[in-house]
Amino acid sequence: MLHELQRNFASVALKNVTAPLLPHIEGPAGSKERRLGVYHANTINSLIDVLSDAYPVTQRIVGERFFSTLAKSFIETAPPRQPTLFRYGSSLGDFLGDFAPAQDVPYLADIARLEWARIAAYFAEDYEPLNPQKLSAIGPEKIGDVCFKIAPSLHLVESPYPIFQVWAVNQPSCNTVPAIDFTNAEQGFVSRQANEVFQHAVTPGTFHWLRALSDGSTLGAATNDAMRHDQNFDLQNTLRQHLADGTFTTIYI
Amino acid sequence: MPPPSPQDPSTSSTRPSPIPAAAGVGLRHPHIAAFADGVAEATWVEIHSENFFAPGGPRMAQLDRVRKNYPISCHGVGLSLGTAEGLDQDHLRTLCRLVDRIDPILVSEHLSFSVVDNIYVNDLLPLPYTEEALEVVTRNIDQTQEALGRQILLENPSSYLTFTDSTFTECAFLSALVERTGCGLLLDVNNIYVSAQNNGIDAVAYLDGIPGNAVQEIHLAGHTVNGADDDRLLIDTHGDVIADPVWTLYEKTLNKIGPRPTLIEWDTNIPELNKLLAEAGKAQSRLDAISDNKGSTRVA
Repeated sequence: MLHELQRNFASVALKNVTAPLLPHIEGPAGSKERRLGVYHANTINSLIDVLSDAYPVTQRIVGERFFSTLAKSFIETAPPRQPTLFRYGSSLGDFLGDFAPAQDVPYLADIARLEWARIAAYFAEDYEPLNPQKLSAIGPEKIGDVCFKIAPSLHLVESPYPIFQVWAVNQPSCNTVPAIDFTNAEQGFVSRQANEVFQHAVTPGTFHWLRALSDGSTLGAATNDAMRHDQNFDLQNTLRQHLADGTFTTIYI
Repeated sequence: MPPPSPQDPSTSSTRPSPIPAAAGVGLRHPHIAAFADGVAEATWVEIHSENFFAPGGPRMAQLDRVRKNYPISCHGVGLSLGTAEGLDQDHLRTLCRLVDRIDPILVSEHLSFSVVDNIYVNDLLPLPYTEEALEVVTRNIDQTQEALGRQILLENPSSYLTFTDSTFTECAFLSALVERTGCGLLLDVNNIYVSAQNNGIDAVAYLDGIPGNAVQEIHLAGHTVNGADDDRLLIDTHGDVIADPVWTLYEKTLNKIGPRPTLIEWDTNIPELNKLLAEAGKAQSRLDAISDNKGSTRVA
């Protein structure tokens, strides 16, 4: 009995389907629908707020009104599955990839993926970055066999569009808008060190190197992979930079 | 009353002193830095538990700093104590971890449900007050209190409707839960007012039906008025100052049950910290007015 009623109430809250519940509500017709409508409005509006907080750049690109429309559609397709709303909306990027009304802005889905990577980095577990001396202690004959554990906050993002540039010019603090060449693909990563979330666009070589290392490849294999995509890949500098960025937590052979 | 000073951080590893029967404020994102730095002049704060369910990151680090400066109460919005399908055990475990981490002075949740078929409806949906619902909520509170190893407080909901199915009044339902589970009550005076206005109930009679001894905390918040005449509905928005009739009902509550820790909730249109603290000041002056001078303002 109670479970059935709760199912019907969830349909009111998420979809404003009131008919099955009406016989259970006191009051005259019309008034009952209006009262149930309060729960629907509360639910949908609060979830739109959650999404607009999580996706400020996506919202800025399409405008508040369109964002609210796409958010409603997303909420219908993918209502929250857990009561921790800071985790709600992770699949908005994938949703936008298939959302016909947004196809005029072909980079929108990837912008949303980049924004979600920032949220995931922000809420990731704390970690201790790798002490570079541990790597120095490995002899040259073994260095190619080293594997890295990657920081839990590190997320790789790639797009056929210049999403890091688009993201940057859509920050409230950005005063100058440089010309963006929308034919430029960009790839990069988001991470968090200490309490700061940061992101960098990187060369294709570095991106493939990071991806291979994330997948558990040895340093040797990952470097070969990077060189295949970028003959100028500079292992020493890239490694130094990522040790400084706290990209790794531990090494193992 | 002098402005309360933050606790000495050196004592932070010990349990904070009980929340005094003083006015605190809900800890919301725009103000968290002031509390982490210990510069906000507040006696205690309350968090929405689920906002701090992350395994790490800056927000959790800030919470640890807030905890060194102020007693904290954990107010849940997502456990769904009224859910007929049973509690989400992962959620309960994460709540236990949070409670272990910050050792809150109070833990509370709502008399409502929000989870059905593993979908989380982001609202506090009302329950019909039936024998079946009483059994469900009793089981869920028992399970929560057992997992936490401590008592929880249950908050009366704001409501926009009544169910034809109900066989208990809300007060009788709450009283039965207190009796069966040993839980305490968090009395939201704005919710009483909003529900009473919306559903044609006498708010003062409601107060008379509440077991005052079980009340360990009071909530106050702003609401908005939608429509007029027969279409008039009060909406529990937590987005404004507290309305005059709610202050009056609060005074009646204090006169009836005595001083209790009182929390100002302000969740939408969040104001400057000073404005929020000023609202807490108004509650404090009412608490002071009914308290004697012998330290009886402290409830354990």
